[in-house]
Amino acid sequence: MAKKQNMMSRRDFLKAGTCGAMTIGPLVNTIAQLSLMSSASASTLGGNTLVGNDYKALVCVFLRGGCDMNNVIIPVGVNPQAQTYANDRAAVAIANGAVHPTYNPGGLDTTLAITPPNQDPYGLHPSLTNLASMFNAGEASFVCNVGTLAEPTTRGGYSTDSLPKQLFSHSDQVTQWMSSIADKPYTSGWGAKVAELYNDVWNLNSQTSMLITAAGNNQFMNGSPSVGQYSVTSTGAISLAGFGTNYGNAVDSSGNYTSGSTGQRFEALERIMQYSHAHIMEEGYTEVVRSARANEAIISEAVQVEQSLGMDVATIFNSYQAEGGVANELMAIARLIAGRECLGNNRQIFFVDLGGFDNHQDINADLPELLTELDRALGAFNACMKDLATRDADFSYDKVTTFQASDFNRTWTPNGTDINSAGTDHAWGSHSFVFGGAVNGGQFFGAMPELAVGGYNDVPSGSRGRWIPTTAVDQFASVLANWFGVPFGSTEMGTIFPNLYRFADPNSVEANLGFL
Amino acid sequence: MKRSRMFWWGSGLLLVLLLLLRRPDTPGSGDSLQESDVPSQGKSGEGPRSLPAPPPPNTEAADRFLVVEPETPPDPRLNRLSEDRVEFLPAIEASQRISKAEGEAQSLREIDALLSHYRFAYGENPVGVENAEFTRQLMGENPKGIVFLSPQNPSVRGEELVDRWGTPYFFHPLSGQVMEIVSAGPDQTFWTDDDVGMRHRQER
Repeated sequence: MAKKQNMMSRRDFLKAGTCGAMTIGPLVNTIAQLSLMSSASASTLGGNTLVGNDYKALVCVFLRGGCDMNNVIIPVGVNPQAQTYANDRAAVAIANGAVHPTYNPGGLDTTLAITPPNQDPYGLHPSLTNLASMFNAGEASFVCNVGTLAEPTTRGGYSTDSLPKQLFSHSDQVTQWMSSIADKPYTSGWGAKVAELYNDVWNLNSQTSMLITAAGNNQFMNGSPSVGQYSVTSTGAISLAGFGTNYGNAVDSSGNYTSGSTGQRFEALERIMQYSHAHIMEEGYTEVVRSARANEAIISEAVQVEQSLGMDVATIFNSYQAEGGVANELMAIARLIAGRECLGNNRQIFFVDLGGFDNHQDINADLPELLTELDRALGAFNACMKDLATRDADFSYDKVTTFQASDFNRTWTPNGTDINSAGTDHAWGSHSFVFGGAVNGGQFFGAMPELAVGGYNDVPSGSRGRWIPTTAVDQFASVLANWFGVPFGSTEMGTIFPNLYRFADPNSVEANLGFL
Repeated sequence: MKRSRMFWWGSGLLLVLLLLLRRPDTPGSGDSLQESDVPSQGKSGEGPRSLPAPPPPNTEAADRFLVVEPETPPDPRLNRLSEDRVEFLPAIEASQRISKAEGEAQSLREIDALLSHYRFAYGENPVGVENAEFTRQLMGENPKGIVFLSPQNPSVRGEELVDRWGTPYFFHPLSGQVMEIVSAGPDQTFWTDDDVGMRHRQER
């Protein structure tokens, strides 16, 4: 039977209470918890005992709308596809050194040089300075032409092979990326499946959910009967509104409810939360509120741990000029990883996202802004992980792997000729970056498609350049799950990725997926 | 004796009639197009139902009667064009209103109605990115060969569905059920102020 989430024993709570040196705990926790905390001290409880050095985290960065990865990895120089890129992408092309009489008559090259071994020359989008540095430092890699597939599909078999449901539609492709199942209705995300099967095995001292999202409810983490996803904000837990910062208007410094109406309301609310209900829906609702309050206390403790380590996540993010939604989300995740002892999970999955990539128009203005925002956040998060490794003896840089996904790639050819308004449309196979200390960095994995309209990877029913994936999401995700601890060939791997058997073994030379 | 024989003949006849009235549903038969391929209005979205087991047939009575299958009356919504192609008339009527609509916004509503007929038949929108991909599927390039949009429709130019200014519509599949449709407007250039678009409020 699955362990009930978020139910702390007194002992567990006392252990968790040591995590943040109790800086804001007295204001955040309930009266009952406060009475426990007041008797606890870090020195007597010994500190880091819940997780130790057996820790791994997966961080999913989802780019909503379908990022144009054809402008992220760009053929340059003597790459035989560099001129095709300039000709075909025309109004939306990044200057890659190839002359285009209208859009790049001087043959400028503004891409950032990367040097993947055994590949023709490629550059990255000029906005991706940090990602390029990480790639060249061996910390990041790309998995090329990965996408949703129901079975191995070729240009010749496009009209007869089973295709993903509603190929090219946003919501269906997002769902299929997050579930890895392209030919059946959605039931759960693959992240949720991993949690459902392994949470009780990996996270014996779990204090909060194994699935934490800083981007709200998502399908990647949805569908586990026993492990719910828990939402946090950039500053940590989502608190009940109307009681002041950290409940300061409702609870005084000694942990008692304040005598005013705010304190009385808060006391009444906390008592109501403890009621049990005969009606299953009422009880279910109340349990959600109760578990949210329990998680809130733990999360609030966890985000304070950076201070005790002498780490300053905000300063690191500021130094990278990382701001905005995804930066804030990754900042919260960095803090939670630093405070992982409080969460009590040896395996943790996080989710963040960045929207706005559905650039049917104005892509030349919008994509650089989006990639800049993304790149700064990634650079800062990566720096935080390396910084943490220098401050926390139980942590090392290779304990966190970050991977990126998106609805789909975009069409190779633009939908207009005006550089001020042109965009690109929905396509299919895309490129995903992965980074972290465990990644075999500086390489392209999978297979780069033939970048040409009518080429052997192009969908035959159109004329826009939509790459048929050569690596299935199932294969890509299974490598991540395997690194996390799900054995290849196990029943569990087959449960999480039921269609994986249809594709080449991710460990095979043919698949070329040794990025972890 | 005579009355008894009449009673048994009468009972047998009644049984046969009952059996004929309880004609079981016949599932769609693979590749060949059937009238039943276009679902009836009331059954849309219904799952399979479990029926009570039929009584054992009275073989003795059935053997003595020639069983005649009742003729299925032709579905008035269908116009058979060939062995593998049939027009779905409500969709054809909707598509004819596209070019006759007073304004472009109304034309978009008619295209949406046309797509709803496709969803009615297949449970989801046609799949694609390019206008021609959607138009070909509406014109009959779909699993059951149902024609929702006639190639002779004045809004069809080649394999594309075009607006009143002759520009192919932009189809933006948000999901399998919701399609955003955009006309480039009088200037015939997309992403300018005179574009006319339609999307469903609940999706965004």
